[in-house]
Amino acid sequence: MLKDQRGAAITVLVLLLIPFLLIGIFATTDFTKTVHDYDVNLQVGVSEAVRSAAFMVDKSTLAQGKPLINHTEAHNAFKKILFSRTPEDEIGNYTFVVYNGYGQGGEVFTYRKGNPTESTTISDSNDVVFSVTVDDILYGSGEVAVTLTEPGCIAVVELKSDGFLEQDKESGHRWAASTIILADDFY
Amino acid sequence: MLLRDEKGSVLIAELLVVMVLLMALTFGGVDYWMMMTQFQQADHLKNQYLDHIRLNGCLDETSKTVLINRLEELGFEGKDGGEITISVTKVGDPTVIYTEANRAVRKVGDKAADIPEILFTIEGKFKKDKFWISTMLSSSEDGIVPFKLQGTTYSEFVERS
Repeated sequence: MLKDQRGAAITVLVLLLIPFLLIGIFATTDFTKTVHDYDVNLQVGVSEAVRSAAFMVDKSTLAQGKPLINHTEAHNAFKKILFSRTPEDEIGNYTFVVYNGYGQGGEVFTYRKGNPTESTTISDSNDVVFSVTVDDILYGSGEVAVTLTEPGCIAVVELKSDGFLEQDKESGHRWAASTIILADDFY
Repeated sequence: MLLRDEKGSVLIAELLVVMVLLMALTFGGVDYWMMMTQFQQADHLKNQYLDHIRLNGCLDETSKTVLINRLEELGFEGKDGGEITISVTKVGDPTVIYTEANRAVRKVGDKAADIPEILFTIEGKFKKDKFWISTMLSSSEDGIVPFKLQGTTYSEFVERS
């Protein structure tokens, strides 16, 4: 075959094409992985983590009819569930807000990769609006605003997932909020 | 024309040989895709019932029967002629089985470490549907494949007293 009049041109062409085909195949896998990492793992993880965090109610306050979320325990539950859904080392940073209302205020936990988690307390007010930005949760109204009329939690998480082709990919953010809603027959 | 030139019918003969191989490869891919689709349907069912378990703290008998029926409709069956095995246990401790009488309960006032984590497992086997060309070329005699689907979730079932 290689010795006929046409020579090895076609074979060489095919050999040249193979690397491009491989790059194409890997790029498709990369795309699927990205969708899975952000839209499935991170989104589901953040909403599940925030829901579990809002559940960390102090038993004594429940008895009084005004359930309050325990700040530290809520943060622990948030971390536990988030890190079980997405690898801890791929989380770039997160901001996690616990807000109780009822004149009890709340707390903001800020984690930036490489630094220890910082926490600041929020002064109390009965109806507070938070605005969620790409990498922070701010006090006050904004483009994406969440109003917490009942005790609840908000979180925004940045994920930097590893790709097949590029190691330094752009990161993605997902946020979620949860509140406690008392059942009608609670009292 | 092609058959009578100096090269003779070598090209055609080559093509015929290669065609069989290519056909086998193509249909092998289709077979694999069909199997994966079947498997994915079961995976979706698993996720649906995992949500059910998350909210109820267990899988009740009625839902279990419905799930087994739906899996059987998809072509899945139990091992050795038995039923499809479904287990709902505690993560890391398979002796703790969650049932309607013993649900995974999330209690108010518990710590983050106490949130019950549930492991949901479905096991059995299924028959692969194949194209005749793959049946001719493949060596496996009956095409019965074991399958195992697993998922974990944190219980959100709260006991109201």
